[in-house]
Amino acid sequence: MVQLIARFGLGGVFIYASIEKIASPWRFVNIVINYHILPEKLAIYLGFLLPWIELILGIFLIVGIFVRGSSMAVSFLLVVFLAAIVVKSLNGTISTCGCFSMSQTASDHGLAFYIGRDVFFLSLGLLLFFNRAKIILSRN
Amino acid sequence: MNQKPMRYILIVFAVSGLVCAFLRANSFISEYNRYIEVCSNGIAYVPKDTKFVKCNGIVRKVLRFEKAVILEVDPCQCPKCCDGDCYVIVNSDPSPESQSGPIQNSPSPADANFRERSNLDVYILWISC
Repeated sequence: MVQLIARFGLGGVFIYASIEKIASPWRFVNIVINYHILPEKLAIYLGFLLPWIELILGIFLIVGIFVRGSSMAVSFLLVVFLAAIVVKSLNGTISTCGCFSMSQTASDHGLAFYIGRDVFFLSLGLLLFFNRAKIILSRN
Repeated sequence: MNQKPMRYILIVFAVSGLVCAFLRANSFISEYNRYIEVCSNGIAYVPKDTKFVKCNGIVRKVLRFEKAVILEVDPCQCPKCCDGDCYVIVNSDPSPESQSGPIQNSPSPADANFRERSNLDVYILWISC
């Protein structure tokens, strides 16, 4: 039951997060470039590909296929997002997180909020991954 | 529902989505350096068919051109943002109704270019922010 809630919760969040980014990718590209972590060209590729990866992982989690792989990928992405937010906050302020809404004025939350939210999602991802791994091991 | 066909459908969807995103990223990269900077370097010339411009290095979508009649102090001038839109003052080609008649003498290309540029109209360009 917990696993089902975690799957639907995390999957839904990733699908929701991807929709606006897929609809206006150039906005998300601007945000990725403004993180100043990646070279510009790589940031553009990431800005276009990441929303699709989020959508695909979200669908896989909800439908219930490749759950172990998807939860591992989602956890990895969340660790990367966490690192990016921390790095950006060290370089200056987080004006736009780019997590869900692409609007410049959308984010008036502090660093602690973003970190807390990502840690919560990461715990769901790890819960799914280790539960799935345990089931597979017990089958063998 | 049997999971196997579902798996194949989702894998095809995933692959085609990623390929499509990759192709769009490629075309965006090829266009990226050609976008016109409209928020610095004075009043920029922006052709009417422009889809994207740069404002302080950030890519913005062109929403509409409006003929600048009276320039008032407006809180929506970029970099300020009103409901996702802001505007900048640009030069663009005159609309067909405000253009003068056909050129009488056939001018040299340089003359034609000068004539074209000197006949530019001032527009309010609304872009997304």
